[in-house]
Amino acid sequence: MAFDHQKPPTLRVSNLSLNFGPVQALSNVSMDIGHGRIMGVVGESGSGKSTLARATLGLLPGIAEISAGRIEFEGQDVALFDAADWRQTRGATMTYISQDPLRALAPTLTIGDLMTDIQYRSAETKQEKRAKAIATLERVGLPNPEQRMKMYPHEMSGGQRQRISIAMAVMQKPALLIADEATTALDATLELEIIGLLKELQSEIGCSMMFVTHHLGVVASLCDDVTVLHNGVIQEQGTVRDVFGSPQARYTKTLLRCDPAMIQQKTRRLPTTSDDPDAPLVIDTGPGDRIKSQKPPLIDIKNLDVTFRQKPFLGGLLGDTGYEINAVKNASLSISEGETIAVVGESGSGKTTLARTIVGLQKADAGSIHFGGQDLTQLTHAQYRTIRKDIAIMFQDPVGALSPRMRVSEIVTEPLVIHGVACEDYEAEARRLLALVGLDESFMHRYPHAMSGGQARRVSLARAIALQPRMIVADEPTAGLDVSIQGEILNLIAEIQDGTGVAILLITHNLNVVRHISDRVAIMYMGDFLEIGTTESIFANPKHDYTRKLISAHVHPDFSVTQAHG
Amino acid sequence: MTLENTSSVRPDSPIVRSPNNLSVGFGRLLSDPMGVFGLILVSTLVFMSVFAGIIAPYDPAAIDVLQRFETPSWDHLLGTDELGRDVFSRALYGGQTALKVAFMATFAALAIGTFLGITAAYGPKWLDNIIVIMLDTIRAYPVIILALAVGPIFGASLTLVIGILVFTSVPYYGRIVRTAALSVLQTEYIDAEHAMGAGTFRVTFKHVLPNIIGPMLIMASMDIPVVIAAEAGLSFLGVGIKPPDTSWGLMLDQGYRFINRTPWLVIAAGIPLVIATLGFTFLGEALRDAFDPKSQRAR
Amino acid sequence: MLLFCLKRVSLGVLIVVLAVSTLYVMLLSAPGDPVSMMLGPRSTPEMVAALNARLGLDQPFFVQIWLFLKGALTGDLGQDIKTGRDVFTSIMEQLPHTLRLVCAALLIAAGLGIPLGCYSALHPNSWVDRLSGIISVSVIAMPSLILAIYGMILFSVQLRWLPAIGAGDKGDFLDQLHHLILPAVAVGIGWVGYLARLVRAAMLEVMAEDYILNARAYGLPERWVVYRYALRLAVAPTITVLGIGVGFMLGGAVFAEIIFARPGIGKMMFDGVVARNYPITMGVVLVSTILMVATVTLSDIINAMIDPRLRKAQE
Repeated sequence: MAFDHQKPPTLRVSNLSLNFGPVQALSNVSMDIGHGRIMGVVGESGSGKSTLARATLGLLPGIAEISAGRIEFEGQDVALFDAADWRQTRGATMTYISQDPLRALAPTLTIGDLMTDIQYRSAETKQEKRAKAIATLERVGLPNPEQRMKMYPHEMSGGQRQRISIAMAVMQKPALLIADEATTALDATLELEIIGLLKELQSEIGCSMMFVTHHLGVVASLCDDVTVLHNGVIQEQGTVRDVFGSPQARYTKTLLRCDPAMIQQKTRRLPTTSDDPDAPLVIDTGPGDRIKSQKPPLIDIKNLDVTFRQKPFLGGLLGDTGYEINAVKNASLSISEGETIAVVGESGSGKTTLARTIVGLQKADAGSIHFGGQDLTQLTHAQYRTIRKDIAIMFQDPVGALSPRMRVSEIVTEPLVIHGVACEDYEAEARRLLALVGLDESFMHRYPHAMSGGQARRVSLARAIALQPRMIVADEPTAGLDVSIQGEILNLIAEIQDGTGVAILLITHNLNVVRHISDRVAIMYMGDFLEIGTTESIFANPKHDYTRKLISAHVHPDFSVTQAHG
Repeated sequence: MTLENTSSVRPDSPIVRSPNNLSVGFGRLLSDPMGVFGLILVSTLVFMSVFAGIIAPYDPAAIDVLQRFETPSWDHLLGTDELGRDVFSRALYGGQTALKVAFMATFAALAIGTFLGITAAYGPKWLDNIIVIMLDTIRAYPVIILALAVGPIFGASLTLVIGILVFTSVPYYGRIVRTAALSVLQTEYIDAEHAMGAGTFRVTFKHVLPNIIGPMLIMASMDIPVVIAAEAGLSFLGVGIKPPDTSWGLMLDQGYRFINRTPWLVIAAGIPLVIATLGFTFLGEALRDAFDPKSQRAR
Repeated sequence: MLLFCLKRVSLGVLIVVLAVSTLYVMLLSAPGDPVSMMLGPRSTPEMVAALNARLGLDQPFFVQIWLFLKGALTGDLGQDIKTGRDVFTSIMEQLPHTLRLVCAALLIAAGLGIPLGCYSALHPNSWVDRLSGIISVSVIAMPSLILAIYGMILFSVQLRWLPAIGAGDKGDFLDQLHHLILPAVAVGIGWVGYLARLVRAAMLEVMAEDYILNARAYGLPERWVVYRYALRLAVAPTITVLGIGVGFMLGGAVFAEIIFARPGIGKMMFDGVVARNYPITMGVVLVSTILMVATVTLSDIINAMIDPRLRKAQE
């Protein structure tokens, strides 16, 4: 749809300054969303992007104060809206999609109720409203819409729920659709589909969109314009082509640089925020040929099978119906000493189960795991204990994996205590480990909840290397981290590996990071390994459709080539 | 879950995630007027009961028929009862009984309940189900009616009262400990502990119990006034403490019998009970609010 | 949903059977010979043997329990030792009084507590909120025993506003209501505060949830947001507590019946106890256990009706 210069901007934010008590959330922010344009609002956590979205909706928490500036929606100042005006606007001309559909949809009402509720303003009959709802559900690609109307949100998958959220947002044909991290919680392939859907719908309805996200790739493929926010201050604004193609502000340059998807060649050292964004990119190919097939395999997994099952008690008297899930099916993989191998899969692929089985948190039903001359699946719990010194695991939730009642210094030396490793000075050892992961003295006496995600990850890593393991299993090491921090953590892991020769098993759904630091990649789907090969070969010649799908969903090669809009 | 879908008898029980800091919690407690008030009442009560022997102006069993049914005066702060005994002194010794019963019963129930709860959380599913059914069965007895049923058979006594109170309180603690233990066991840091090779012993004592103990103690403190009231009630009905021991409930019963002669006796007998339950309830609620990071009580 | 109900109900039946059986065993394994205690000091060995046989006390426990339960299903709970009257009939005569009292207390507690809690949640830190916070905690603290006695002294003896004794004249509804006020308040008022605080906390928590934000983002009228979206969910812990609360109120009702000399199973139990009347005792225990288990089961079912996520209750 061509950009209509005649129509006034759907949304105009002028010099908006907003604070939550003493904290300045937005400073002098100005932004125009043109009629029929999609604006991406990009920033990391704490940038104020969500605050901007909520301010537009007029749904800020009580302590928020607008100290300056104005928001005009369709030419009207929203500060002058009273409750009745907002009721005519929200859900009608201005709609909202939030990040987590499970928490966004009221659990006690059926989909049908939810969808007819929001139509309460219109004078149509109940049947007409239901029909409209069903038609919209069909449009967003939800199979069996009539049946779904009677179901509850928790009975559906995440992707289906997000489609319903979208249906609710577009049903009223709004002038402005605000999507706050709408695709962040979805798997990459699903994200691609949803983005496609949003593009289609936007074309059909001709609405404007505010798309808030931290994912640059999505902005590149979906948005026309982009606003980059950092700490509540606008860094740069313009069309996507201009801003991503030739960024002017330092922050934008850094952001683009640090996004692993932007980097074409494989490099051991990812750029971080502390690097000079204008300097040429340093490609570090790392010690070449580290893994030759001559090196003996460290771990050999053969035909592993893991099934979760539970029988109902008393024939289901207590509401227990039992279940059986085959999480890992006949999987085989071998990992050599000192290599970095990534197991890539989406949710439900079984990759986390695989990781847990390797470290002994899960019992295997069939197959073998050979390590250090023993078959790990045959070991008793007690025998496993000695193995635990050699295989360490870093969990996905960085803060949650650390005991909330222990200080950092105790946490990182706990493995030594558990395994009775003699140590003269635990404090000194803790300091040493923390130094290795780039944390200084001040972290020694902190508690886990007082740290950021990135810092907690470093502590996890320090704990993992405490006993000098031969392999570290890293479960989603970059999940939940801002793009700029991701590079730092990955560099750190690479550094540790260079220093100690430890093998690393990366579990992730993010192909981008995999590309840079892993030697080999194993694609996992529904409990089975579809493909295993060196990183280059997988990316260059994917053999399976699913692999191709994963690659195209993640990698956005060239930001400057996408837009049909101006 | 069997008879319940939410976690406990008192669904507003806190599972504290942080603060770790005891002093932060106590700071909040002391800045809460309700907490201070409760603390004052409770400490006064405890002090006076413990030192009843010294403080009591009269022997609680001393009969003086000439001074029956005296209204409160400087001589007899709470008046005298139908046998001329000083009510104030009797109240002090009754306090000893009340506190003794309350703490013993609560402690025993807490210990047994914790044991059962942890066993249910750790053990195999079938054991868990059995324990839960057992606890639910105990909860099916209305306390008073159970006491009335068992009391006359086994004979009224202090032991019986404590026994009944422990018996009926165990499910309360058991379920909460079980839920708390289960939720802790499912956290990622416990997984991390297992992955590091920590044994069950270490996990239980260094991780599970410390994370549970705070809420448990708070639950116990909120249960104490209930137990005190229950003991008074049981003694009132005649299935609890029997003379020559004193109990507030017994005093209430005696006072009630003579309510037509004078209401002061029963009122005076009720005062220590009111102070005790008020004080402990205030303290318990304030403790809970002080240590619960999600507390949103109007202050 | 039906399956869920069936499962809950059958579980409830199991619990009742277990509870009653356990108590039966407890009672009859107590020290001393129950029969000679029942008959008193002038019993002869023949009388003892005869009564033993009649009560079936010479049979093994399992058989006794089985007979008792079988009898319970058909409404035969034995005869009152003292008066010879049929226990079942006696209990059915007294039960309605107790139920009336408990229901009235429940109505007071829920009728005052829930709206108060709602109001407090919607207007946090208002003076109503603060005041009700303090008062509710104080009143929770008082045992219903004290409330009953003090209430009686104040309202019956001193002020003479309300009657002190009995349940009122049969057939005169207003008189009965008049007699019901004081006992019902004594039993129920402690729960007003408790429920108010519970509802308040639950509402505040629910109102902070994402779907409330979303509901507002769709421009839904505030009244809907509060009652249709928020309240439904906030109500769940309240219903659970009420389900269990009935059991506690039953205990409070026993005191109220004794203090106000009202008819009811509590008073019956008390009198029965004084006379060591086993059949009465067992009958009352059976009835009250059923009552307690039934209310908890009912509250679980109601909760599952409100919140569909609970229908697939797993452990």
